[in-house]
Amino acid sequence: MRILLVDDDPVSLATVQRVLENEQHSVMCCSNGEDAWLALQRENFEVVLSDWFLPGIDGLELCRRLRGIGGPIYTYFVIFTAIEGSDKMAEAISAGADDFLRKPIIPADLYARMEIAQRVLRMNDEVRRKSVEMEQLGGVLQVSNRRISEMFRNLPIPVVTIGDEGLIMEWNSAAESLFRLKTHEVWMKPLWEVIVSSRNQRAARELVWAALGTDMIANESWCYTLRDGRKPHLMISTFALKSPTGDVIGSAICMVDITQQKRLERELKVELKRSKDLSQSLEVKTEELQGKNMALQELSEQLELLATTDGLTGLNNYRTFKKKLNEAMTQAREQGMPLSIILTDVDKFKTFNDEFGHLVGDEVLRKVAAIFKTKIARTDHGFIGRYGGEEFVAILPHATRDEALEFAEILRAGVEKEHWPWRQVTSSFGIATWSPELDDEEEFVKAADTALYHAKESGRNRSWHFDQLPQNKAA
Amino acid sequence: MERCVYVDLSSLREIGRGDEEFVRAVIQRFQESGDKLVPEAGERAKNQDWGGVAQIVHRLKGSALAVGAPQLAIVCGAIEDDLRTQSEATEPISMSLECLVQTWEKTSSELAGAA
Repeated sequence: MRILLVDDDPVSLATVQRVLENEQHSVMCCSNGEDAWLALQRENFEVVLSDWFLPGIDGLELCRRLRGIGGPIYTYFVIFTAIEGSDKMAEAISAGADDFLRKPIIPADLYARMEIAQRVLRMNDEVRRKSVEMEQLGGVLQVSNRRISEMFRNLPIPVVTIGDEGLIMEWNSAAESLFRLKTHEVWMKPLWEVIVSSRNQRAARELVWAALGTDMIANESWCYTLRDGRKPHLMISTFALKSPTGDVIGSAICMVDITQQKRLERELKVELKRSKDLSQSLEVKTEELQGKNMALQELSEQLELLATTDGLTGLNNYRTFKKKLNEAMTQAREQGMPLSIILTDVDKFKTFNDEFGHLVGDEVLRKVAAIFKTKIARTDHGFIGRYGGEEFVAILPHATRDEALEFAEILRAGVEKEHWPWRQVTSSFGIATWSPELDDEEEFVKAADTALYHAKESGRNRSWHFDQLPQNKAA
Repeated sequence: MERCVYVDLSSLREIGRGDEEFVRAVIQRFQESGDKLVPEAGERAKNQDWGGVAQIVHRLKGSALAVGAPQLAIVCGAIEDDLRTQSEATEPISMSLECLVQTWEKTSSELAGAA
């Protein structure tokens, strides 16, 4: 160690210096207090060993001055004296000395004391080092604390912390906005007195004790009137604040204002109910409409039937025949398929009406129509309709001339063989088969009509094909 | 009757660790100091400068203890105590100072022999 030795007695100075140097200490000697004080201001010594009584500045004063200037490095100060008296040690220690020795200095004692000095200085260094570390840590903690504090302050949801007696410790900006109270107005006040009106303090107090009595409360709905009369709907969550030993020392209470959300929920419920009612009403209306639609459809079908069928016989009417003939001719033209038509007329029908009356005439027409309907049903895509008066017409797609003749014969026989209560009924048939020369609808029908005329002229109750006519044969 | 020990250099020699030159140098310093301080104490006593006397005997006591002159240290300590407790007792102090001179002479003489 670097030691400053101060004594006005040269003999003591020499012997103590020798004792210290024997232990490899570096010793600087001064024979008075003034020189020692100058040396202490100039350089650092780990230990000062000073005689108490010195001319001028004595040992105690030297110690007081040294302690007065302080400094980063601690100097271990030992006072020694030859004077007797038990109060001397206390006086020296009180002046700032670390140790006290009586003369004569016994080497073993001095060595032991220097060892203590070394230990104390080491500890002092350690304390200083720790102190620097603590200071640095303190700085880090301060920054961290400031960040956490800023974060808490600026959290977007209202948060308040309370101590174990329910007094408000922290209160962030969002809480200030929600409750319209500044931090300094609520600090260290009971939470229940601050946040709700006097009528609702019991509920708020229960909330505080519940928060302090449990680790966590999650999303509890809370709606009470505040001191200023507002009644927000809050979603409250809490968590316990604990000491390092695990004791609950308070609670953090987070309050999310869900008033708007609740209002929207209510509105949504109303809307949903309205929508449900509307839906039910719509269902009723839809059913009504469906009913009406069905009735309309039926009506439409009836109208369609009326528009396309003959009222007396139930067969297709002339309009439908024209439409079907057009379709059949187009198909025959495009696909090159055969097509024949048969025009038929009840023989001497006028005399039937004259003799038996129109009702019987109508009955004859209905029966003839029923026979034709039955027969046409057995053909491939055959069509039968009332052409007008006592005339009927059949369209036979895919039917050649001979096939058409054959079918006309079936119809004719059908009518002839039917039991007629009034008198025998027969029909005549005129047939035409489509060809490029008969590509016009009117011409085509006219051809069948010409053949029919010929059938009647030649004795009735028979079938004639247009190409069997004498002029056509010649052609 | 037990014989007074005026000089005991064992501690000094122990400190010197065999360095006789060191021992001699310390003894020489002590003698120079004593030769100067003992007469000075007499002079101060004549002038009734009891504070000055006390300082001198205190310093001489320290030197005596350091060098190994126990009898001289005892005499110095007695004078110091007397001065602290009875500052006006001039008669006993003068006797003690006489004793101091005698003790110093014997001590110095023994030291001269020992060195």
